[in-house]
Amino acid sequence: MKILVADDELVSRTLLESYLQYWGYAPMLVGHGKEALEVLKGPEAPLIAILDWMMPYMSGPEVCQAVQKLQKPIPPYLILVTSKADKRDIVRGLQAGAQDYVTKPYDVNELQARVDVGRRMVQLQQLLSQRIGELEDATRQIRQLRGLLPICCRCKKVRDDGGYWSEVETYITAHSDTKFSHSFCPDCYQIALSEFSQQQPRAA
Amino acid sequence: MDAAKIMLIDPGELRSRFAGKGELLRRLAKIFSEQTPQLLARLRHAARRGDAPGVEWTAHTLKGSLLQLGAHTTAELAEQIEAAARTTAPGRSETVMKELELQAAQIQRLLNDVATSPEL
Repeated sequence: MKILVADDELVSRTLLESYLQYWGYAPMLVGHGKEALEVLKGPEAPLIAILDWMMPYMSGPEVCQAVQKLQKPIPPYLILVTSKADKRDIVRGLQAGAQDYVTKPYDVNELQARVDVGRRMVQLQQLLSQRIGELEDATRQIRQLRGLLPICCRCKKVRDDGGYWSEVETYITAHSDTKFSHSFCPDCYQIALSEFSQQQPRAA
Repeated sequence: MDAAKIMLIDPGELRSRFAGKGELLRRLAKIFSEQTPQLLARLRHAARRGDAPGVEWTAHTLKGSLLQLGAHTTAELAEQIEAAARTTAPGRSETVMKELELQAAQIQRLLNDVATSPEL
């Protein structure tokens, strides 16, 4: 999984890059906030980003605010990393839209656990988004089979929205996942049997 | 290895933290040696110009890299300069800045010693 790392300070960025690679992630490195936002706007953007608070052009919290405005279907999980340890800063960072906050110097195991939480959250959102898509498809199909359907009172053909008449089974097959298996109901079975007997040549 | 160096950065802690990752520590030592003099020069320049935001920013960057390397005492000096710039009391910073430069140079040497030691 790709993770964006945005930090203008090289020691911190190199360390983070090394940890993430060791944990099995694919880090993407940028040196300032504006660049981070450009990457996060892209179609193949990483779904987790670790952002330093103080960066040139755009700070970490400013990036968080801008990302919120993008209203992506699966918003990225944003972790702010900074040596600002004041409680008010933590509140400000989270209010800006970050999902998590880590202070420097961070405990490596704690950071790994927090990044893993981010991965689980993103995977959960992806699953949820996929399920919502499936549900929307199902709802669309159900909607197609609802409402007033004109049917011929003699041949029982139905008229679709385009004005074409088709067999009930053709219509339902086209508008749902239903498949038909052909058989006789008890009444028709009796009729068919009687018709069949009449067609047979009489025994001598 | 003198006592002052041991107080600035813990070689034992560094060795255990970077055990099996000697290449990474050598890379970090090189980055630190290259960027720290530049940052200190930028800090001096900003202080001379009375550029409080510039002093705050550069001191904060220095603090970040020092903390990542476990140099807490020196990071505190950077923090003092950062805080002074925020509260516009740059007069207090000169002595602290000299001490920061001194300690940063010691840390560079110590980092290089540990990074090139055969134990790593």
